[in-house]
Amino acid sequence: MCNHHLDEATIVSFASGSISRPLAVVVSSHLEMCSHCRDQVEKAEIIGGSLLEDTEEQPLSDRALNDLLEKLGARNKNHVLEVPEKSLPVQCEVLPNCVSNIVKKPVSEVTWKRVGAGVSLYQIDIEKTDRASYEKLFLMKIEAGRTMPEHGHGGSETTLILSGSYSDELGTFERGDVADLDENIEHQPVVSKEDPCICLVAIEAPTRFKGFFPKLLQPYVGL
Amino acid sequence: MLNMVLAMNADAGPDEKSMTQIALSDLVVRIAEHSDKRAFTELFAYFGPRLKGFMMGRGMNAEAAEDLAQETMIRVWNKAAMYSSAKGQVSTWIFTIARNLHIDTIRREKIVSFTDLADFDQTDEDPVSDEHLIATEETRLVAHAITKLPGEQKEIIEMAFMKDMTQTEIASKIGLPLGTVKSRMRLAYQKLSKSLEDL
Repeated sequence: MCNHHLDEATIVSFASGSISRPLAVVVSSHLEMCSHCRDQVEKAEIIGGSLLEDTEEQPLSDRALNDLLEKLGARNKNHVLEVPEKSLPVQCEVLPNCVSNIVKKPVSEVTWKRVGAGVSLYQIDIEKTDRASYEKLFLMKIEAGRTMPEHGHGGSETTLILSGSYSDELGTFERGDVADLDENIEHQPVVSKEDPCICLVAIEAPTRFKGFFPKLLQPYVGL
Repeated sequence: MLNMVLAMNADAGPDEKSMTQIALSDLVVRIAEHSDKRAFTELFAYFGPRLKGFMMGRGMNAEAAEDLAQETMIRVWNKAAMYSSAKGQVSTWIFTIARNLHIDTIRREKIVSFTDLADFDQTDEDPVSDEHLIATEETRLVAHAITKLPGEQKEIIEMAFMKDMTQTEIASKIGLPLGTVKSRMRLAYQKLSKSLEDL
């Protein structure tokens, strides 16, 4: 299955719930395709359970219990709450479920913006929170056979491959693989000759690309 | 009836500092199978004040925190049948419910992204009792491992889980590069993860 996984620090942040929305969407998308990282997140969630037990208790108001008991609905023990279909069926659509829920159309109907050098972008709007102010989420399509400029990362950049593939210093990345790169890594992806490569990218700016890459992206994603 | 339940709970005294995970798990099973309000009351006595503390740690005022603690417990009531002791422990399960609820609350728009991971995997219908026992040890082992972490790693783990701080926020709060925060998180995770291997 997947050969490139999430950074353990990302696993911890995701499990804690304290993570930016763009990055959370990329992580959730990868988890849809990667049982290894799902296991990792489940382990990290035990930290939360353990800390919850040790949380300093805050006294509840006198009426809390009565209020609560009155709010309880009837339970039908045979009625398991509707479970959204998350067990992954055959992937006929390129976009992961959690991205489809936001974009609300198949990737074939996405309106790409060509930014040059074989790169097209589609910025995904997610709700603005204070936390998201420096972070962006977008789909990126790179033409087959293209070599991207070598670049480093001012913040973190997390890229999930959705179709096609590319290779760089870290290996070959195919659908489901995630490049969870921190600021110290520089890389130069080369897209395979057969197909364009479509990725889901969360960037925590500022990104200090070397060369012309930032000039391409800046106006479009506001980095 | 309700008064009786309350009285019985009062007789039982304040909740013990830590109930065993097996006892907690049994309460959830009683809720799932019998809609047992007495079991629910006990579970609330244990987790209610902790959940309120958890929400306040994440920056909510006392009133909002209590509301979310109640809302978390309503979800526990409604979803009890989905809890599987073989998959994890009650406190971890309730943590994920509280976490997701907090995230939903601070967001204006609700988009599914934090998922119940349990939904992905088909759970075994009849959990093997060994697995059950193993699962009930998890939080105890991790809790112990957390106390053994170097202070600088423990601090970061607590900021993420209990203070709702991102890596970037942690880095700026303690004045260290993002890379240092990440590496401390990784080290802490590896140690905590290793503590589970002893099972």
